[in-house]
Amino acid sequence: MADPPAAHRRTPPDTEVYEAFLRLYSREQARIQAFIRTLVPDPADADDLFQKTSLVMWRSFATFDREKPFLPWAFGVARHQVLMHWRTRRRDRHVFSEAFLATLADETGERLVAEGPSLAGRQRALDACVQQLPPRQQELVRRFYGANEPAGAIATSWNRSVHAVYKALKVMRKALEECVAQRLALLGDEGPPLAEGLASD
Amino acid sequence: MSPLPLTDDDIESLMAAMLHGTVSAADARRLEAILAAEPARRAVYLDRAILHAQLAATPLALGLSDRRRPHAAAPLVPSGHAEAERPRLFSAGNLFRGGLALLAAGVMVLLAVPVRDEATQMTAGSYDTRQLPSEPVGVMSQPAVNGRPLVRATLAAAAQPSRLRMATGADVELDAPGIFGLVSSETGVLFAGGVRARVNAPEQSYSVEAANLRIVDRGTEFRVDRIDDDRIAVTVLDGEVEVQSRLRLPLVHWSFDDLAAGGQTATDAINSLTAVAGPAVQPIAGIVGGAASFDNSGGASLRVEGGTGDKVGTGLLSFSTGITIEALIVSQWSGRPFDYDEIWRKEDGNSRVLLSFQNDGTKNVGFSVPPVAPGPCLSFGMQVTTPGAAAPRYDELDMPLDGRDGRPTPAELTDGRPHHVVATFDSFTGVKAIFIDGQLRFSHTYPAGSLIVSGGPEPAFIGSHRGTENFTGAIDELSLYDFALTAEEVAEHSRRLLAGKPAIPPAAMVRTVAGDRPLHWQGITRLVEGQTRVFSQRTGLPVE
Repeated sequence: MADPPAAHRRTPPDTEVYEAFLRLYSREQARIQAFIRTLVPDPADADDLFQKTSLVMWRSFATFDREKPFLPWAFGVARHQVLMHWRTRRRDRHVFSEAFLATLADETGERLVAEGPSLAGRQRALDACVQQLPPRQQELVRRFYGANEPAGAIATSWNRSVHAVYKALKVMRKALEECVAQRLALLGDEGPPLAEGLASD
Repeated sequence: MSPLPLTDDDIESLMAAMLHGTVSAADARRLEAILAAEPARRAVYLDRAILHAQLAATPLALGLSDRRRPHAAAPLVPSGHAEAERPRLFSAGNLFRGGLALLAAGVMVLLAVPVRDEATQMTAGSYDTRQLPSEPVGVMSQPAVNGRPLVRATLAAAAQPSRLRMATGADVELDAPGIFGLVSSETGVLFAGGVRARVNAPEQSYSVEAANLRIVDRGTEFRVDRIDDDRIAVTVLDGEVEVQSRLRLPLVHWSFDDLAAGGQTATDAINSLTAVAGPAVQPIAGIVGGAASFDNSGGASLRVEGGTGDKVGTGLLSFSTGITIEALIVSQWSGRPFDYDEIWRKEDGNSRVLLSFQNDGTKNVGFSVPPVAPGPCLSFGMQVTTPGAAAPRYDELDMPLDGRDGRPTPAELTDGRPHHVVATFDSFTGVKAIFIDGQLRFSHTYPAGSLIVSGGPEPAFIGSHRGTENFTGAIDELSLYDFALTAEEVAEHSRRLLAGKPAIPPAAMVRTVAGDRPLHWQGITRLVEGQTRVFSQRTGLPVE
């Protein structure tokens, strides 16, 4: 294709800024996405927010002090986007108060910063572990977490009580916790527990 | 009397409801009070939320056939590339699975390009959620992602141009910022910004659409720029293009008059698609000529012969940037739980399009967009790929039949009188809507640029889902359009149909025919090298 007309040419970006952003972004995008998904469970909404957050991060990268850690700054951008999202959704969804969401966002950020780069390894372990679940538990993963079906709907189709479904979920999470821990230990990619509360299940 | 304290199981279920978006306002407040007061519980909730996010991102939950996770890290700038060809940074691996955006080029392009997924077989509820293979329509022709296959999707370029090579060989460059829909290897849709296209051989073809306009190359290089919400500038850089205006006529239309005349088939007046009547379909007098009567039994269906393609996204009954399903019905639907009455359904795995009465409680509540309370509804379902999404998603606009906010009740729709039912979706506005008797009753707005993913090898059915979920009552004057009728057009059609007249006057119904194929577009002008003209996408006519 021929060169675009002058009116459509863009000023080449500053290579140094560009590469700096890419380095930081590439390293942390998994945790940024996890941050958003934790606070916005709907996958489609979370993906939209991740895109917006990525754009806002780039556009405001000039304001980022590169002497400081990137991740807290990125979480700050994402936190703002998440709170904006819930503010606009409050009319049609029952959600936490904005003050409490802000608390959750802060604690999620702290948790994921502490998680370090092991988050990706933990996701890989989880990918493998769900494949080893028995068929009934795999169905739970697909329906409860994948299709976002309520426990009540699953209980109806199983002809069981909702309590039984929650119990099955608890058993499944316990099995996954053990499997993930085993895999990470074997692969030497161990990080903090995925879900500390699981131990009490 | 003070309420009983919550058990651990109660709190567990509250957390699950919150994470599923199904919590009530009262329960949200209760859960917040508990979590705010008890840091340990709050930690457990965060554990649940993180686990929920990670489990929802597993290949098993996403319906992928194996647990392969493409490398998620975006490529850094490789050495040796020319300054003018600074590579784009795309998190395409994540897009493959998880829905991450593509980060991008030069400065940065945020580009959402779902790549081809493997075919999978799963079931959830009664729905077949296979992801049928999509045909790649082109590849990225940029250094960092050279050769990346592109399927039907909407690209959003944030700051620098993106280059694509279509499967037909055409080269396309999308300006930034810009939003561009990849409908097929021969057609793209400009939602925002500008696009430049060039075909490299006489036998190649490429068209750019914008609502009611289509710019067709005639061995050329051209630009299309969106000036505002209505005006489109077309510039020919080399050769010649033809500017076409959409014919706002149905893609298919069954009057069912031929059934009433004693036939076993109903033939579409536009493309001659034949609908073969099952044994329980009876011809009756309709509001406009004859109609088809259905008794809810397994034989009460009309199977459409033709309109299919070999893959999802192909065939006459494949819709992309818009759709309208329009019918006159006299419904005797029971409204009972799990009694479904289909008006139209084509089921190509998850790439289905349906319009039906449903009352399935919470069984398929995850498909409702926007979420609605369980109960009887009129459901308009189809698969949509939104800008930035990694994969298309099947959603239903489930209009509650609750008598609120202008919506009808089941009793009103089954009062023995004919009702005009219309379902529309428009990619340019993102609006998905249901109209009853000429009035808008329920809608949802997707991001502009969202595309329908539909069509494929499975036959369509009128009044049935493959011999099940059969309609009860009569269907007449069924039309499908490959664009969204406007509210004014719907009102006019309703007025005419309920007065016993065809929705569109017969004299206007005649499509121009090229060879033996009806045309959907008519040429309005040709432009040659050096010419620029501005058109209205609303009227399809020149404005300057």
